[in-house]
Amino acid sequence: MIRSNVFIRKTKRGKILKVVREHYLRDDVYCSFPKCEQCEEEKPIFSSNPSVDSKELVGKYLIIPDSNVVLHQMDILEDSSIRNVIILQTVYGEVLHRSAIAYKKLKDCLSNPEKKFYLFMNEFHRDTFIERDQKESPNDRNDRAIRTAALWYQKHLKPYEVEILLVTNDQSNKNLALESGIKTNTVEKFVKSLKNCDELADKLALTREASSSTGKTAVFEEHLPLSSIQVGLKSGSYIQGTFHASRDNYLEASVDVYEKDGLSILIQGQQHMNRAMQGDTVAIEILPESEWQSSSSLILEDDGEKNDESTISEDKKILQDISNKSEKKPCGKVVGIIKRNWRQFCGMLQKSLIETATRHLVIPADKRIPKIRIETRQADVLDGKRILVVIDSWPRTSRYPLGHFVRNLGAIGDKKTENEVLLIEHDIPHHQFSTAVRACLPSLPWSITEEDLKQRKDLRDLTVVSVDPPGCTDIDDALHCFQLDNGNYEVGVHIADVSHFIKPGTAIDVEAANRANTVYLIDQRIDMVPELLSSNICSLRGGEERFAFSVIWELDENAKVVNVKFTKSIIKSKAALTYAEAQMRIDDSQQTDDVTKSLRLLNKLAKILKQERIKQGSLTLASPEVRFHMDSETHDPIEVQTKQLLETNSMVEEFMLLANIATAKKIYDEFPSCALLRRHPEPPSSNFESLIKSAESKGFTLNVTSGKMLAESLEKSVLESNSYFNTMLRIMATRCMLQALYFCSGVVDQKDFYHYGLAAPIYTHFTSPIRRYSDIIVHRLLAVSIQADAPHPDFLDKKKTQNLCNNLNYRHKMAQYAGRASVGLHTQLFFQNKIVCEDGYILFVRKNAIQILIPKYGLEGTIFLDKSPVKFVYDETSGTQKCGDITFSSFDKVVVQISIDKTHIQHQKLCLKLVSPYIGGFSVSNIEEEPPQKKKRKS
Amino acid sequence: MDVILSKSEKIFLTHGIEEGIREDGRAPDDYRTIDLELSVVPNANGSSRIKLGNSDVLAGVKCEIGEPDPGRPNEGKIIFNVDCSANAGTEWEGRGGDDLEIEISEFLSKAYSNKSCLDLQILGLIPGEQCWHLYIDVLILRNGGNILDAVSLAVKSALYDTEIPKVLIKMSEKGQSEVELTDNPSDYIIMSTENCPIFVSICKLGKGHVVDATAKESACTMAKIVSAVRKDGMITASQKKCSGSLQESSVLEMYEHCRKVGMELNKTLISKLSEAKNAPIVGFLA
Repeated sequence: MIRSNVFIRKTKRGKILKVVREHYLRDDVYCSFPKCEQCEEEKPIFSSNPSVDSKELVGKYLIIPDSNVVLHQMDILEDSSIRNVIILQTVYGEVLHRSAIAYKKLKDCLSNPEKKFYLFMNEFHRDTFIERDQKESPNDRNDRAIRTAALWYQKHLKPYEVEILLVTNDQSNKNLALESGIKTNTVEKFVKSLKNCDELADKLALTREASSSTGKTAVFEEHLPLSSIQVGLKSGSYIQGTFHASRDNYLEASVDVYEKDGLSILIQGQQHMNRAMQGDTVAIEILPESEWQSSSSLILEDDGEKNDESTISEDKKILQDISNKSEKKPCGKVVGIIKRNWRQFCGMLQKSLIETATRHLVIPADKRIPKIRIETRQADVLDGKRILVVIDSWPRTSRYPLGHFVRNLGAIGDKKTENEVLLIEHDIPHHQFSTAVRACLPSLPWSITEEDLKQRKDLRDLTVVSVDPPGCTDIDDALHCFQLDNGNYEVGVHIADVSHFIKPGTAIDVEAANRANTVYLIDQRIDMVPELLSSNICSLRGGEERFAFSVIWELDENAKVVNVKFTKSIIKSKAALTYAEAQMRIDDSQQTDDVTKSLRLLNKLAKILKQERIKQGSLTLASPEVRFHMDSETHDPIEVQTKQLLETNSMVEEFMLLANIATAKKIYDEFPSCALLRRHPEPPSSNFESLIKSAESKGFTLNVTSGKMLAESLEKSVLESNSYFNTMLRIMATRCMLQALYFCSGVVDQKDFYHYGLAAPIYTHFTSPIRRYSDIIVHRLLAVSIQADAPHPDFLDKKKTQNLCNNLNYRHKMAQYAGRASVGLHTQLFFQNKIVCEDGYILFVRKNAIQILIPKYGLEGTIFLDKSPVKFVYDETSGTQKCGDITFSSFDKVVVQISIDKTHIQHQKLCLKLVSPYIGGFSVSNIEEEPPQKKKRKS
Repeated sequence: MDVILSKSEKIFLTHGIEEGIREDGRAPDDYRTIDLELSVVPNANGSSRIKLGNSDVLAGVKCEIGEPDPGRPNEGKIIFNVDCSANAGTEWEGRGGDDLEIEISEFLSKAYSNKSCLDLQILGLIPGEQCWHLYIDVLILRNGGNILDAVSLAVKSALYDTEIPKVLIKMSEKGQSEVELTDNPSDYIIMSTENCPIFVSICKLGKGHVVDATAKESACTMAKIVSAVRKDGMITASQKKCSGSLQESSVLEMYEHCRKVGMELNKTLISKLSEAKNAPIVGFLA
């Protein structure tokens, strides 16, 4: 039976369209109950005896939740005790439209055979389809569709004594359902009737009725409805942008305007922020110029629980005080929220001061997220634990957003818990690989077949060697080098051929594309591809035959490329060395074996290449990197070391760069509009302002007009009295840089392909396919260009490639943040029970604090000056803090005491105290004695 | 369309009509059977299909928001467009139908330009800024004679069937108006089509005249008068066609004839329209 759905909609340009869609009704939509004789379902989903673990509902029951229940109470439905649920198509569609997060979860439930969730296509069923009546709102129509479907099920399954329970919180829907004889219940009552209700009750999201606290005065201005926002955006009275809360000051935020690149509007005070949160898409109104302010350089933290009403006015006062009158920035206020960026947040409980209270605050791990108020009866259990919470709403009357508890992650300070927090907070997919993904793996024992030998170049006889950091199991690159008869050198870079095992479009490919890269935490590695591939079959281990993708050059005496070729090959690595081992072989003149010889040649060529590169204007930047030495039993860090850079590090790096650039050229020639490349945009000169100012204070002038100039002037800035000065300048320069980005060559202008840091006109990533998805794509493109593989239609889709790049960029950024956070976590564990005095240098001078870098630990910390009993005077023009005759300015050497501040048991943080120069009443004396540490050494 | 007849055939036809007898047995004032169907094009806001004998005409109405004429800020616009399908006759192949298309659409515009025909005020939205444009597209699928009358019937029926989505005018803070759709898709405006004119073509053959001439009769026609007649008998536009000349007395006589037939036909059409509105849609699959 065919009928048409007619609706009218307004297009973005204001046109009004009548849309007609044909709709086919069918009679072969089945109920999916195994015992049903009318339906011919081959694989019924429900269990034949579907029961609810409930005190009240005895017998066989199937549950139908309505749209709002699915939207708001997904955490309940996700619980493993909730099974045999009918998801109606009507509900499914509404969820899809209204919440991407709930939709994703719902899909996961539906695809999980354990959960026994069934999607019933009621809109296509001849008996359950209903047409919208005139004067019926779309919501009423959907509610009626849900009731009709429930009634159909009830009738249909009556012979098998299966009953239907409709779960809805909508009072009128409930009444109507009861009238027509359908069993209904609200979510709350349903959950309370369950046997494991205590656990589930906390997961109940606060519904609007429960949270609307009538009688309370509104704290915030009302958000405008979407329709009037759209009108305002069109007329130009509002601006759309992404909300970024400040990490340092909870009363300040900025909004990046979509249309104008680089324009950001300052938002000050909670009133103006008006419940917007990190990452939300908001509409803002620009304040009149008379109300513009400069951003404060204060660091403010939101501590203590405050009343709903009083705080707002207080907040304003603080802000008014700090705003210095110079340099005003455009300010605005949030008038409405276009899209929320709510996800699950990790945090810890800040127990209410009242003993018996059930409402508590949660302090999220991410400083940019405000505290969240939740309701729980298990506060005592959750105290001192990391928990996962979700925000349900933020009514006008509440100072804090309201949410509910989802999961207990474990005790605070426990390494496993903290790692989990880290991964969740950085949105890193870290679940186990699914069965579908594992099914794509080759079966063991894996060996090379005759067929493979025919298709690949056999390079097993070459002296190939790999050099990697110690403990590395995912070896994705190896090298070889020897002198040719004509005096030139043949150099080969062999990269693990991951794309041979990961074919486009397979489950493993989709998963890897989503993960985008392997994430390295200090004590954990979250693989992009399953371990079998990453550490075994793809890894170019010593002495084993492996597939590789090889780039082979002929280089002359001066390391100039004579020719280059690409080929798929089979190699057998002669040795897998660490950087230190390789260095030792090179240095040890006694050794003259093949491996050592080729290493020496490689090293020689690499030095020439590096010189050449630096001449071109490639930047040498620095960032403090550290290594932790772990206790082999407890896996707690026992020593911190900054990473040492050996010659062999840069040897490998040079050849990787050479391979990457060669590949980039090749794939760009072959696929001018859809090659995946990497660019590093030149930072705007404004980024360098603070760097130049700092360097000037020590009498150096930095030229930032080009990368080359910058590299040269950095090279010259050496201060004899302060050996660390140059490194610090380089660290500061690193922070001025923009992020390097993956992109699709067809969407960016060719002049923007430039890689600023490497001074290369074109660049890509080719050399680490085990840990980066970008490299897999590049491998595929390269394989097609040398006719070693068949093309896939997706390769030519510019838009798809760019979307993929966007994900890669996002994941890359997140992986970096997670890595840093992991270092932070371990630093904190390291200083647990320790008080150490160490040399440090002042990195930045702020209005109420100084930021200090401790080179030994690669650590950065803040000393607050505004809470000290001694008065400091801030000089803005020179960027110094003065106290008596002692002046602090950038690059000054200081001695600080490092300890862990345990005053907040829940929120331990690294604490720095000044030791030298000594300021009476502010500095602490040097304690060299560290009893706890000594004890540890003895034991 | 052009039927080639011999002289004696023409004389035979003409003499018959002078006697009041037509070759297909109709009386001079009789129309052929008219088939009427509404809402045949689901994508259009209103549509109709008229089959008059062998002539087949499809009319559709599309509503779009546009700017009003500067001289009439409060009114909407109606725009006619006629398309002679090449399927209907070989003479319309290529650009062959262009002249006829323009002629018919001009005549329709003229007939509807009288203010009393359609209330265009109802189509106004924001004075001077936005109003509804009604695009009335007529497609001639088959030409079996008397196309003009069939077109006018189709247009009137399509307008009767037209449902214009109801919109709300919202004022933004800056004083700019915005058009918003209402939530309910069954919320629409229906125009009053009572006063829409229909065309009556009177053909003069010899001393007699007939309505709804067949293709053969058209071939013998010396002079033809087409008038747009409202249901109250008012003529809003008129046109003389064919090469023969007419005396004043016979012009007046023919006008009177037009009015009489037109009023009758209007009455019948209006009564049948409401019937057609509720009839099941058969469309082109019949």
